[in-house]
Amino acid sequence: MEALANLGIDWKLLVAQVVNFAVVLLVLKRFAYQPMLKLLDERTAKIEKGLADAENAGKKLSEIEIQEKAILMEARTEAKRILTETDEAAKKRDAAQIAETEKRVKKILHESELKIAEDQKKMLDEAKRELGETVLLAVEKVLHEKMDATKEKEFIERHVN
Amino acid sequence: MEISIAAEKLFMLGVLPVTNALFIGVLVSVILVLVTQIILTRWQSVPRGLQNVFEIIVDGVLGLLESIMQDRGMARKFFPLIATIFLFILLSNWIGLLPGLGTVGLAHENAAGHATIIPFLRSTSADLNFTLGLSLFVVITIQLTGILALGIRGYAKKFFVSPFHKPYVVGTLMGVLELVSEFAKILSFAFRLFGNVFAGEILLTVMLHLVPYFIPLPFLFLEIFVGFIQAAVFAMLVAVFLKMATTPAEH
Repeated sequence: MEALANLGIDWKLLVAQVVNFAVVLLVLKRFAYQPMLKLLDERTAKIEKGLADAENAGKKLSEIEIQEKAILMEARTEAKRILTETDEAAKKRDAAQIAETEKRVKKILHESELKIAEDQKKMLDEAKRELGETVLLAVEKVLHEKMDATKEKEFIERHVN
Repeated sequence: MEISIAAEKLFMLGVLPVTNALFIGVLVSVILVLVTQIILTRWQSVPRGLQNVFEIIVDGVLGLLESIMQDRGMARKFFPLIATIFLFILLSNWIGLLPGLGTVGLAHENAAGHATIIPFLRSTSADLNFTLGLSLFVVITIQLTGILALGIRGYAKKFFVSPFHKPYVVGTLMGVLELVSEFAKILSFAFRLFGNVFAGEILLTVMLHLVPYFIPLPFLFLEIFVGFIQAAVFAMLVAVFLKMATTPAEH
């Protein structure tokens, strides 16, 4: 005990120092370390989440790019297909139209030919009749005599044809 | 120049003689609590200034503990104890280095009748009451942790080994040695810290009396370094002993 006293050891002071340290330990544990660790953990979680999000976003972006390319490709082939289809349809329709027009033109031509022929015949007939009448008149005038209807017709026919 | 191994008494508080070392111990506690509270109330998600320093300490100590204990849960459980030991010893070591150490104090007449002063500043670590008290506290904590982790029988197996098994008498002797070393820890913890810090203070005082200017500067830097090292050594040893206490005996 004498040696301890020489080194300045006093149990009252020793207890006081230990109590002081214990109080600091408890206070710091409750009011400093626990909230601090919580805050640090929260931040770590946040950073990890941010990094994971960024990675996910990158992955998703590349996926979307691939999808976009596929969709574009599909759209392009579709567009090509539609274009060729329309082209073919248009060609087919054109051909049909041309054929019909040709047919109609032919028909019209044929009809007009027929009509012309008929008209000609009609005109010829009329001309013949008129000529006959004119000749009859002239003959009547020349002959100064009237023939009866049968004689007249017989006469005309004999002279005209 | 007067060098006293014991901390000097400043005044009596009831039956408790308040020494300069105890005074500084309380001051260190108040500073630690205030600083941590200030940091916490101004906590920002993007650290700045003092918060950075504290985060580095917290992260560093936690990482070190995890590497020593190989167990995240255990490291988190003992983090408050280790961090407080480290911060408390570090701050009390460094506070003893402040200029004016030993020059501001109460007027006093020593036994021979010379007028001297009792300084207000004396590092808490340069008082055996603190170092011995802390080492007792720590060693008791270590024993309790070991008993809680392994059970009384499991923990006792570390020290009491039957002489009739594999290593025979050697194992028993080793057990006794282990038991003695548990008690030796109290003294080694206490005197290592006390010796280093007290010697540093004496060294600085002596150098100041020999050559007042510039020459003591390297020693001041040395003592700053020693103050850090001793705080780290104390904290690390506690961590290592805690880990050893929770590891079952290998027989």
